[in-house]
Amino acid sequence: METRDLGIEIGEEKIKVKLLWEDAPNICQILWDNLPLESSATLAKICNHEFMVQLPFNAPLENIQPSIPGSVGWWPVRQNVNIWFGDLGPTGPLGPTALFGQIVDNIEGLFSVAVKTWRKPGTRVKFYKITE
Amino acid sequence: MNKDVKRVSELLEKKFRENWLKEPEDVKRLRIGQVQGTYRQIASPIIYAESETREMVDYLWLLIDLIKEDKCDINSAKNTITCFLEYKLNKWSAWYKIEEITVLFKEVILAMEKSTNKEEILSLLIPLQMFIGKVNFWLDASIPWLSLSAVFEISLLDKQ
Repeated sequence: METRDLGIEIGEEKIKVKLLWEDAPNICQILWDNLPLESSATLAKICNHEFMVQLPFNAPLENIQPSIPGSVGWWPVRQNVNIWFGDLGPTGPLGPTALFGQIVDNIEGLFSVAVKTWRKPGTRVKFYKITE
Repeated sequence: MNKDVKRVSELLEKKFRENWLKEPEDVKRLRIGQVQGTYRQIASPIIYAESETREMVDYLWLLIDLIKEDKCDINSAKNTITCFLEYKLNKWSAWYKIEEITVLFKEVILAMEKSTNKEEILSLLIPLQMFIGKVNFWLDASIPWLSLSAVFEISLLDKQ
């Protein structure tokens, strides 16, 4: 059976995200139907190692879970994809989030992009389909 | 759907798309320091504009949620939204010289008067909320948070 995963190119790095089709089917489907997409990223100001990327659609809350490094979540209030990549520390997310993906390749690449994004916000991001 | 409501809803969607990868002129003016605050300094206007748009996105989201769940009657929703937009319209226009958003707010207020049901109100509010969210992104991305933090830390040394 064909797998449907998400590719994210952020700055000069490419990461692969396993989409959680069974746990968050609606978010995954809406995102999938809108791919490919281009947007820009900023870094969280309070919540530590987190990228935030606005997308041009609305999707529901589902699969509300605590995030861990590598989690990819959906925050409907701001139509944001949240990408967590490191220690979330004491000032991490306010609570569980709608998780719809998990980074499975090159999470370490996000650290250097984060430093650049902190210095100059608005890093270009591309989302695309990966099928195998 | 009322034709004025439909027209403004489509206009909001169009403006949202236009700003997707291109910085709005309203934001550019703030970013390059053309909007001044007290003593002609240029930081406060963009920081205030960023924080006010950020809060507005959250409050509009909460309002959208209340309307969707029928926890707010149509007239209360219309009055609340109009009140919000009129207040911010005047403030943002005068203090932050934000022109495009305030023109859109006036359009939304007029269309809101003609809306008669939940679907029409949401057809205005949802794209409006997304549009302001995108403007907020550009403002956020224009503020040199790293440099501000460094200056703040230096200012603390003076107080020790």
